[in-house]
Amino acid sequence: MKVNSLRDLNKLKSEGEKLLRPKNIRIQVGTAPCGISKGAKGVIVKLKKELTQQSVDATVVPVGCIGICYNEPIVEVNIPGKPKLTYGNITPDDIPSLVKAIAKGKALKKHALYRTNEEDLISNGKTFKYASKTPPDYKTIPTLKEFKFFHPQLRVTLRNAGLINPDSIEEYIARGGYAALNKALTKMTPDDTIGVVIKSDLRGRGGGGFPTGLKWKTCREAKGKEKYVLCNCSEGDPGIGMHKSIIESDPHSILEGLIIGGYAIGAREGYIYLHYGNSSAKEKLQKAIEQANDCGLLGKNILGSGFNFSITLKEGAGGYVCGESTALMASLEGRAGEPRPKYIHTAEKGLWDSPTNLNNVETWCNVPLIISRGASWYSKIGTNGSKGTKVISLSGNINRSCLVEVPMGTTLKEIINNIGGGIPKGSKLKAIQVGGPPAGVLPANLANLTIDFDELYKAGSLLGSGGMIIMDDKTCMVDIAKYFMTFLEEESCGRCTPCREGIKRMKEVLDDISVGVGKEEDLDLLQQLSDCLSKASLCDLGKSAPSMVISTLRHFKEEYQTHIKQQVCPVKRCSM
Amino acid sequence: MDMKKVDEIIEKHKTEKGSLVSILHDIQREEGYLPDDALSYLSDKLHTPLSEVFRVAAYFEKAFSLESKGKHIIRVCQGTSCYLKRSDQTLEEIKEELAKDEDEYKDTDFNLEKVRCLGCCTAAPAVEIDGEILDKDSAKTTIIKLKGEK
Repeated sequence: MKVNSLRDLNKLKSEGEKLLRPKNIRIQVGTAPCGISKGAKGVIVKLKKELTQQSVDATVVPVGCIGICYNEPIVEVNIPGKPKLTYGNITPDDIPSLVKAIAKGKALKKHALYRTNEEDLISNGKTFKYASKTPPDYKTIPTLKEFKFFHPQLRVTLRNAGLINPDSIEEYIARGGYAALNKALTKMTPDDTIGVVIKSDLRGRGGGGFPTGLKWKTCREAKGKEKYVLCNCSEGDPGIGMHKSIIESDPHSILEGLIIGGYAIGAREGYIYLHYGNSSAKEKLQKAIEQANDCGLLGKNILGSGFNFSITLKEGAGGYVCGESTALMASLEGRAGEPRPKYIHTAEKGLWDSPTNLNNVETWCNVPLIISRGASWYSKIGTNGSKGTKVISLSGNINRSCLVEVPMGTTLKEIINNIGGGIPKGSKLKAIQVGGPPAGVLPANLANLTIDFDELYKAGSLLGSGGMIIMDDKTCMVDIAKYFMTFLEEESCGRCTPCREGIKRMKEVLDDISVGVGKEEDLDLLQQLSDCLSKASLCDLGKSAPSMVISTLRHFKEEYQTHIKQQVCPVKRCSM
Repeated sequence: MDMKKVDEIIEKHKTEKGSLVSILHDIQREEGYLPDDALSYLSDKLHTPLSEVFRVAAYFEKAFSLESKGKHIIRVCQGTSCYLKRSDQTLEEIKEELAKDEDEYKDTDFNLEKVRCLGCCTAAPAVEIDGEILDKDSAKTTIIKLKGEK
């Protein structure tokens, strides 16, 4: 159905509400990468079979990632009039007893994690009530609000993740989706829109934390017939999968942000640059784009406003370096993804030499909420310098690998202990990497630092893209520095000498130290090479390449010295 | 490679600006790698120097392969979380598993490669077999099953 007005949008909304809260039972199964890797597909097959066998009238809906990845496969059961129940660690063997419980309207307590009696809708501030009464046998199950994992969290970007069918535009609309687009196109001028984003103090979630509104303004004011808005889904850091999770959970939120951005900046075309080899994310995005086109939320004269906009999904081919803006644009143009010097900003001359605005997935997902709830609502969340929330993919030596979203200003310690469930028994926290390779590592005694662009920068780290990796006391810091230099050596595009040669030499020095033939002067050499790279490399990836070496030398120098002087790896990771 | 197929792929991306990378992806999906003849044909059709086509194909060496790969593609994640959970050992274990009963199947049946990050840290150390992400133990079971299919 074509959406030409708010009335049409409301029609789709009520269709979506019927899907979200049908008359029969709705069963949601988490099928983001975390769910699939734990066998969600098998769970769905068995579930459908068992429902038929036991003649239970229910609809099975695949949803994205709800965040509690350590409990996958996750199944949520919503029997009309009863609280929604969330079950964890459901294997195909558990299905017969689960379906039996569903048929009787009971809870399968063994696997129940929490119940949702009511749910706050962040997109419009309303509350949805699943049930006004709690059946007696549900009472011992903690409520969503009592489930400690979510206590420190605030799901703004992940507002729909794991709660809607990512393949359904109706369900997205039912939870407040595309209302912001309607507001921007019908009630706001492009300058108003930029004004709200500036006032919200939203800063880019891709790494640098540059003020998003200002970036948009520069691009809007730049001279050029065509302008482009781009979404970076390249996600090149190792050990991070949150963009993939967002795309596979809620693709329309990215599209809505991008369309609003296009309108504000004056672009008619948007591109999404997706990392290759990501077939399920690609399918989800492609489907979402098709649906938006079919509904007229993309294309000509969107919502009767006269604004035309299209989105093209492009599959990249590059690695880490293609996360760099100019390399990404070269790759989008179908060329080798090499960065260029940025004496002319991409806001003036970017893709095909036209003014271009690039933001990452998370930044775009924030935009619709800022428009619909307003800048002052948004800027109440977070700290003075860093507003809003941050999505973090938490992994490494931690009890619960999960997808997290916390308000800015949350301490690292709280994330590790209260959300991540602490370090596995028998180990101790040694180091934390907050934002991918450019962030280096922080030692355990700095776990009181908070998620805040400026605070982390001052501590010599970076919020970066938010891939938080926890390292325990069995991790050798020389080895981990070597690991990153090996990674960066492979990923360096080779265009500039400091990065191409510097990383190689630094890795050789680390190789020596790790096999017990390092010399004391090697540490100075590493420092010198690091200085050279950070000053002379062409792009930010080269400039930040030595971060891991610099930070481990700063916080764990004695470990290097033990390797060199005693030819011993204190945690016996390096083979000497 | 059948050049009619290449024509179809070019046609599909006709309206796309800067379509070379997308076309190469489709050829690779079709054939499993980028055959020389397809690249030469592409160079003619797109009026792009063959050196440029090869430059792009070779620059993105992890995405594109200029040689035919095995029937089953096994990719072992080398991301940070997986590395912390000893993905280097996982790689060795899988190599060993593949080396067992080697004469029973052709070495072209399996293609083992390292991958930077699969983006599924919950499954760490994660392994992808023919597009499906698995944890280490399920990966080994799957390999044994695939070997048995011969």
